[in-house]
Amino acid sequence: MNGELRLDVPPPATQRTVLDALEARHPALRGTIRDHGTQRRRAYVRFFACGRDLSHEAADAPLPEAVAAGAEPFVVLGALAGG
Amino acid sequence: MSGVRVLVGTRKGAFVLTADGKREPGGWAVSGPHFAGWEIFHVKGSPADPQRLFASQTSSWFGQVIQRSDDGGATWQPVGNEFAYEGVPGTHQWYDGTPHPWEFARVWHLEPALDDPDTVYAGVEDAALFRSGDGGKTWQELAGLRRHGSGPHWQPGAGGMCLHTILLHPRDPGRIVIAISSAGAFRSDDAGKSWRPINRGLRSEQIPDPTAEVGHCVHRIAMHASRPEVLFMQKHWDVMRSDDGGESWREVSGNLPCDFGFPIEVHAHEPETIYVVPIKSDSEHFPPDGRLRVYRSRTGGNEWEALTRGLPQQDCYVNVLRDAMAVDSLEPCGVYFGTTGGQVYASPDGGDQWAPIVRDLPPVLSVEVQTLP
Repeated sequence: MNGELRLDVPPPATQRTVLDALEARHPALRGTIRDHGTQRRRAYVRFFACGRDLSHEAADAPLPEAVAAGAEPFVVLGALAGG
Repeated sequence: MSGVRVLVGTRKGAFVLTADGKREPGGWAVSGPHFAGWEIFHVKGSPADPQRLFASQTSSWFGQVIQRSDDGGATWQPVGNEFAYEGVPGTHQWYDGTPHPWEFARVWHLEPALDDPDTVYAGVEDAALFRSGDGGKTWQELAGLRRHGSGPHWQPGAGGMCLHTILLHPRDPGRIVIAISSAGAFRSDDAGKSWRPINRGLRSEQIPDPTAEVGHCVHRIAMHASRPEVLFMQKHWDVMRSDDGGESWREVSGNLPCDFGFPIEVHAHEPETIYVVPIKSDSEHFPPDGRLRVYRSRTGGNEWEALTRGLPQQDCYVNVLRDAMAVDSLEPCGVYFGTTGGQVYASPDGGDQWAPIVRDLPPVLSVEVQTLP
């Protein structure tokens, strides 16, 4: 999937709640961003927002206020690599 | 008019090649790439409903996706992709012999059931067998295979510890034969509940005990539906044959120029006619002497003839992977294979003459063929 998607996420806005809402809207994405069992981020997937790499932040840590407010995107992308 | 549909999985997408029953060069239509950019390990159609296809899409970035088509490959939808090992997965051996936890990596092979379009089996890495009874939406492990006892001693082959071969008995629904690199062959007689190794007669000099019960790098097993007790195996080295459902094996490499290789197939109408593609060695994954030759035996092994007409006979250094050969059931039988160089070759006359259907696909991982009414 490419492009921007607007999601209504009940507070608090965290990686977990945003991805839960994304997967609820698009069930085919389950297991493609986070591992089915552990819910850990897949190794080559990265989370960016507000010019920062949030990939190593805790899944339940609050996202930046600008993301929670819908002013800035929460970016899910595949790491740059060849192959 | 009858025809064929060739399903090709490649490193960068799936392709569907169709032709009428003549299967003449120039008579092929190419559809694709489907899932462009994604690695498609395997695509296979249901014998019970040829319009239903399953595809294994996998990537290091976004993991496993199973795609399903209900219209012969025109449109696709993702179905279930959760392959959870039953219970605590435990460990197998890593390359260095240390214990390593079982971790799902990808689906190598999808085998739709013979009689039900909603039932499909999946052979996965790290080696396990899964089954879906709802068209691929949910998957359950047949955990008796991993737990029958030898699992902690299994080791991966160079390509990963993959379950790559699933043979369903045409008349006995309880009988399933599978193969794992590099654990060996296993058989269930109760529809996948319980399993045992069937490797007696295999000899592998690369393992501490060359005749061990498990640890053999089986590359592929083939069977003819009319005679399911007879199995043909391409092992890492050696072409093998069993006449008793895998209880015992004997070597039938005979006069092959080299008995290393990956795929093995059986002619659709002649159960003693088999095909292999000799490869030089495990470190030199290309045809001996740079000549791409399919070898055919009409005697169930031992006596082999080179099939070369239409295949490159100089400067050819491609490989043919284990799932990349298939036969149709037209008369005469068509034989197909794909290469890591992106060619898919077809022979409409049982291997006598070959021509490329396509020459420039991404590296081919798998080839299956459906014979259409």
